[in-house]
Amino acid sequence: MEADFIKMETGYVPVEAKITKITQPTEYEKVFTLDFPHKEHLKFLPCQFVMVSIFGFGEAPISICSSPDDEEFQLCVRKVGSLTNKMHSLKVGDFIGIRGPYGNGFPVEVLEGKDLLFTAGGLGLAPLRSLIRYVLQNREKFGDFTLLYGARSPHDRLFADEISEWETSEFVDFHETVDIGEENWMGNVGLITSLFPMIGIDPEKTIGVIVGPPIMYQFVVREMLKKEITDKNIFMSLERRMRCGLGKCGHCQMNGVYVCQEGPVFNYVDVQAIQEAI
Amino acid sequence: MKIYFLPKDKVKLLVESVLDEFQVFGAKAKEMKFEFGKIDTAAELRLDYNTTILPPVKTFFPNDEKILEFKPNGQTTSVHENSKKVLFGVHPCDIHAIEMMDNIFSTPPEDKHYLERRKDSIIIGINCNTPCSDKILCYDKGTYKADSGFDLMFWDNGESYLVEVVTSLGNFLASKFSYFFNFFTEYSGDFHEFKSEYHKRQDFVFEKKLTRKISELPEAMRQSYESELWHEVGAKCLSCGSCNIVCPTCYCFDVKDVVDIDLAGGHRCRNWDSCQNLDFACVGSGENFREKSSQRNRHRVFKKEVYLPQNKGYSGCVGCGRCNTACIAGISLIDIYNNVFSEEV
Amino acid sequence: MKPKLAMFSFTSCEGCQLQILNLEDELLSILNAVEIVNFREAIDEKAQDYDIAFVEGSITTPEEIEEVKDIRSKAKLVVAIGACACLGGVNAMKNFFPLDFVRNEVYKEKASCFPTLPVQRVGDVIKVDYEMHGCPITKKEFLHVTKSLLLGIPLKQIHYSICTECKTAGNVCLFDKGETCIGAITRGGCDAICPTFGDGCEGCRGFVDEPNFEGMIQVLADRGLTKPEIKNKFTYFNGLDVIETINDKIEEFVK
Repeated sequence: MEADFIKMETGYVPVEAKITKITQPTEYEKVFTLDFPHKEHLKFLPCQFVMVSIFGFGEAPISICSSPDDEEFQLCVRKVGSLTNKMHSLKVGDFIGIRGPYGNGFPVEVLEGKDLLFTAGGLGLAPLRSLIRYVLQNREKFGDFTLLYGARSPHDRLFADEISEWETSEFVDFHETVDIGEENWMGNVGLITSLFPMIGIDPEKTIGVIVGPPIMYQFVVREMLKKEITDKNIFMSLERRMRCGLGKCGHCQMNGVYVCQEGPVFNYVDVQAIQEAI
Repeated sequence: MKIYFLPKDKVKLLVESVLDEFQVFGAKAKEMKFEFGKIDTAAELRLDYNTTILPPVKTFFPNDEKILEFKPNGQTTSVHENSKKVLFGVHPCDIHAIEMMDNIFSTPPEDKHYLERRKDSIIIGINCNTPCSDKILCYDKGTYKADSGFDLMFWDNGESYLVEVVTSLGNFLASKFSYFFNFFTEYSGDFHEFKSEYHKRQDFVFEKKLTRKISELPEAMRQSYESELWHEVGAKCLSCGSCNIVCPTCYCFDVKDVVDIDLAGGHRCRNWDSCQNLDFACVGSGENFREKSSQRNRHRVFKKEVYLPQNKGYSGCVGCGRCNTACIAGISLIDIYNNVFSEEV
Repeated sequence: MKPKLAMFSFTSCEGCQLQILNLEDELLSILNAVEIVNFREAIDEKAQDYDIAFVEGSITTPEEIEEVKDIRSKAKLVVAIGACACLGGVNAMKNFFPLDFVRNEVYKEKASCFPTLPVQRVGDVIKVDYEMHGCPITKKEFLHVTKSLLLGIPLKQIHYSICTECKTAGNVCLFDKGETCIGAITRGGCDAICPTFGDGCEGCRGFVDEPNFEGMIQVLADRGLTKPEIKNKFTYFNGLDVIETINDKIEEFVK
């Protein structure tokens, strides 16, 4: 699979995408389904991101949360800044500007024939959902599939409907936890690392994937290494705040690496050589 | 390659005729210093300047540059500027900087806004007879002379300039004005000999500031990543961002929207940004990846002397000395480099 | 219906309101989008119903505390404008003296008629939605803030320094002319107007986040400024911010 980049006159002009559906999984997150003027605008790889733009409110990098094989193109947006706050006030039928997709995306071919151990923390489930759905849609290409998810609290859980499906699905071994429990919460309480003792994997065949808040990576990597997954078999997608997405503005740079160009997906072997990465 | 001979008393005439047809940018006096800006009259242009506060390359990468226009009808268009410009009298260090920025902005995905401004521009270089200050590193870096990156180069020859024509654009300009005014006469002397004599005179007045060879810097720098040095620099640094703004090879920027007063239309522009600003490496979740001044200072220097050499094969510092001059806290790349050299085992 | 804008002044020179009046070319456009219902320097009307309140001046009397709380209860948004409202400003020098001394010095035998309090920022008394810094505020920022409020664009404080703007403007650095300036640690947003016209920055927009006071003191001391001169630089507009710490810092770093 190859990324088909949107061909544009210049780097900064967005295409107008129409909001066709909005769902709100939590107080702070909404999922926007977008329709593009041309079908080729929908082509991307899991874990790629787009620059979302609303005039007056600027631009922000948002990762795509739908699978390349989905009919729908979706973005999960947390309310944190000018642009994302504005997005939360938009209605179905409104337009937003999109340019991209940017970034390397996930090298899905390296996963084929392997067992998979995905770990998502918080909003990290959004970009990872793209890959999760892709795996489930092409299930025969992959071995055992374990998925771990940690949210701050029960009402911060994203994609609850899908989680219910994953919980009962025979195609994925799903475990989740919350940092802080609540009265009606019957599930696990504890950090994401507390899920690792529950799972059994074959380290020879397993590829680990981590997406979450900056603080999470070191701890989850340690757990994966404890499970004897080798570092070259661990991948992660890293968050940075790009202004251009074109390898110029400098904001996403960690040491010598522009995340918008060489990332956001990195192999852990490479990450170890980048001191500012995690 | 052609070499012409231009008496100094004819320079003003030449500038006047160039001004008739092109926008001319060059050095002009600003209080006791010089600025690089648009020249309106030939008398304004100074070829005897030491250095300019802001570098010539910013002509192609202006601050507050409009990149998109939002029309009230909802249409969004890309904004480009591509007037024919002549940059008259650019020093070798700044020519190196322009070459570097050309490379940065033309590396895919290329930046049309820079490239459009750059495209039809003619660069007239002028060599430096003497060093412009004691804060420069151009002699160590070899950037006190330039072999490419210009269309014409002026060489001081006492009462006259020798004008070296190296590109077709340069040839176009030279022949265009020699036809009209006939003050370029082809130089008959041995230009190679002239050049080597010129550089010998430079060797006499320019001096090296570093204790070791510049080629050893990237490795020595890499070794210094955890050095105490960065904490010392960080403690002095006021995070004011001056070093980045005056640097001819700093190209980081921020993007912002400006709404018209009628609230209907507006534009998106980019502004020069500084990696020394506290929030430069902040992300949406609030994490700041370079929250300490020491980390930000290290990043600035590493970007120039480690990351660019590693990724692009060239240093991101042309040794112009502007940052060293601009820093009121007295932070100097010369000291940093020498410290790095002395620390390395 | 157009949003209603109100301007209020507390202890200040009202120079910020004057800046708004100076927006001669843009005022009519602004009036297309908003209704100004309270603006002592421009109109007689004194409405009690408004959406956005711009509050100028510091809070220095018991009466002002009540008035500013009343404004907060009526306005949907409160914007503190100018150095007095945001920082305490020049007025804050009052806090460096005993209150009774200040009161007697100003009002002499009538002192007992004028109750007074230590200077407070507007934000010390009520919740403020945005602070527009400067002495006075800049016309450009007033327009930017007004447009943003009308369009619902969240406002962000500027993080970069005056030096960033001053260098961008291509100015000759005041330090190169043998003068001094605290623009290096002062929050930008004025396009470095004072240094551009040859005057050193006095810090009227407040300090940047995490200012390096020690470094700045060192720089000023190296340029030959005495301890009192350095203290004046830091306390001219920012007295309230540094009142507790500045003496110790200066003693520590100026030998």
